[in-house]
Amino acid sequence: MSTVTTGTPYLEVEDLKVHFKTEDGIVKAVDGVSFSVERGKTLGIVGESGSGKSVTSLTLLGLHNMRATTVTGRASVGGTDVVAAPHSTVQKMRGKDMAMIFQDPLTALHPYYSIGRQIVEAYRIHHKVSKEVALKRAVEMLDRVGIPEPQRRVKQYPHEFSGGMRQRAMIAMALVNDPDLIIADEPTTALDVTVQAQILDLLGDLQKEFNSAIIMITHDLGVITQIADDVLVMYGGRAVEKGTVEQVLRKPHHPYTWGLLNSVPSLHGDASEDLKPIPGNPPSLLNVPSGCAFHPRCAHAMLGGDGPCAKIRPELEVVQGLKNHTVACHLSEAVRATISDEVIEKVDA
Amino acid sequence: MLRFVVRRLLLIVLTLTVVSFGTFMLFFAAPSDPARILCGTRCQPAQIEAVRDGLGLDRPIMTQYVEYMGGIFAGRTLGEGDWAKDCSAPCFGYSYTQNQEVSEIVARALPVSASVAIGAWIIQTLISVSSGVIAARKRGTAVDRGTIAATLIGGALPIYFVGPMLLLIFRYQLEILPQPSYTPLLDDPLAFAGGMIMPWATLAIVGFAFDARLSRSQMLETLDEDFIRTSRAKGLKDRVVFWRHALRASATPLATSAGLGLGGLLGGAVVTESIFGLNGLGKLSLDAITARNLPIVMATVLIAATFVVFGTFIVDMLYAAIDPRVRLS
Repeated sequence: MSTVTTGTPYLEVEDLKVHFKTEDGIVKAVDGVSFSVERGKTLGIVGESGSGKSVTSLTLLGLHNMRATTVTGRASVGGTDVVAAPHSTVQKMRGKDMAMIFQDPLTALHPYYSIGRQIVEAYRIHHKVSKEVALKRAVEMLDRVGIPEPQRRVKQYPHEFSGGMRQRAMIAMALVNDPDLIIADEPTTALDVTVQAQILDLLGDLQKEFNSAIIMITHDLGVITQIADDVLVMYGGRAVEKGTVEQVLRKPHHPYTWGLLNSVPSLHGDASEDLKPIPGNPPSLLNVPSGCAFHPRCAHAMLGGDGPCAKIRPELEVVQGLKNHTVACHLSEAVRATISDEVIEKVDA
Repeated sequence: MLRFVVRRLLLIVLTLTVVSFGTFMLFFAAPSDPARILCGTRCQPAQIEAVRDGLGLDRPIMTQYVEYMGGIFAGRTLGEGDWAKDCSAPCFGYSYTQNQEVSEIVARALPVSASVAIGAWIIQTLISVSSGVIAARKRGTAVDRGTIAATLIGGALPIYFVGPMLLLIFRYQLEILPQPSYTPLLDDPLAFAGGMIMPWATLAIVGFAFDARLSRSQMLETLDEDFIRTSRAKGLKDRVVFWRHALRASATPLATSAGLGLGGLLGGAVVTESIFGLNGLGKLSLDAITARNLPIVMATVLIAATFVVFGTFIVDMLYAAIDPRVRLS
């Protein structure tokens, strides 16, 4: 499962910042995030609502709200920097070089057009073929994503599909042009647990088949374990921990990651034992706390006297001995390692 | 789909029945006696009684209502004895003051009102929807701000101000438009349009604001929808996303507003007709109400109700054409 670096990653994001100007001030939705994804690999981005995970992905496709928004940094998709590229270039890349699967397939599909028509349209943007050829391709894709009777279903409208089938249709539409990068923004959040697993399996299979890079945005650590190779934990618009799934979920080094793991109910654990949610609320991106943005909610924050947590913003640093594993925290490595073991012990119990 | 249409048509029949019955009852509840009015001020009680008897006004209200409705579809003989008059279908009764069948009087007035209302409706819908949609497309630009300003001004102007102003400017000051009048469309299309242009303009200017603002806000709201983001994520050009996906999704509320607007315009046409001196349904019903001329009031109310109800029916049919989800339910 660990990343072996070979050649250039398909997606490389460097110091990406997305700031919105509002009446109340500047919202730093994303404030300096770097990551990369290779073909055939899946990066999971985890975080609470408002951590900047969705804005990051929307910005890659240029789908963020353009008004009063400043985007800086670099985001190379297959060699093209989509931050610097003109709008028309990015628009032509959408659907072909990078495609997106959205959270709620009910609202994300056009209610007045048949499923077939929507897929045909997506295909014909990037392929100069007749409607008949495109329709054949649409039926093929519906069949590929496991929709029974695709010949009949292709003529139906989104409201005639169940939630899981709708998300399959959404995936069929996103993959119809064989995109190199797939961004899935909480694709299973609106679905039943059993359907969730099927959809994730499907994405995994399709990834093997098409050798695409996937970004999986989620707040569900279970989804990450099931599908991702690498994980990026975001908090307050910044990356707080980065590494392979093995590293971040089995040897977490950031207090926020501990909090996320502690908030997951265990099937084997003692039912009478309370879950430990992270106290407080996600920070306002309009007014991010000084120093480490997590310090007001952190049980281990060093605040009094020379304590740096409220004063100095921690940068990502390599966790010694763990390749590719970085964390932004002022706690000493020894302290973090001890707490990490305790957390994992409890999660496993 | 057929069941859908049949159900809506049945609903129309029901609505019109209720409206006609309501109007009928309302008139009998009013403190006036049609027989007395007809007979004149110097009538003796015995004479009034004779008139009432002759017109059948002494019979139960339900019987009279059923006969009235029957007359609309099959025609009937009005009154008895000396008062008897043949009235062929559609019989809306007889106006004794004008000595004419109501259907003839209405048939003269209806085309005038219909021309004013339908013409104004077409112009108003075209202008307001297109300007609202274009404003949404050019959001935040001078075009957008100009449209908003125009809707603010248009929305604040009443018919009885716009109408006389148009007359004053275009008819008397500049002398470039003829006095509003009604010429049948098929007799002389140019004279028809010339005579109607000021009433149309009046109603369109006054009605423009609502639909324009609705179209603009509806488009902006649709543009925020998830499926619009999806269509952009597919790689569609912004132009196509706007003019195809967003416009299609906004069509339902716009059709509703435009369809219901037709009924409203008929009401607006009443005032407009009085301003421009057109002999349409508006003037007719105003005069009839003042004179307590029941048969004419009944007829005009029924016609107005039919307009509104069929406007709604057309909207429903449009819904089904636009939104696939309606076809099933």
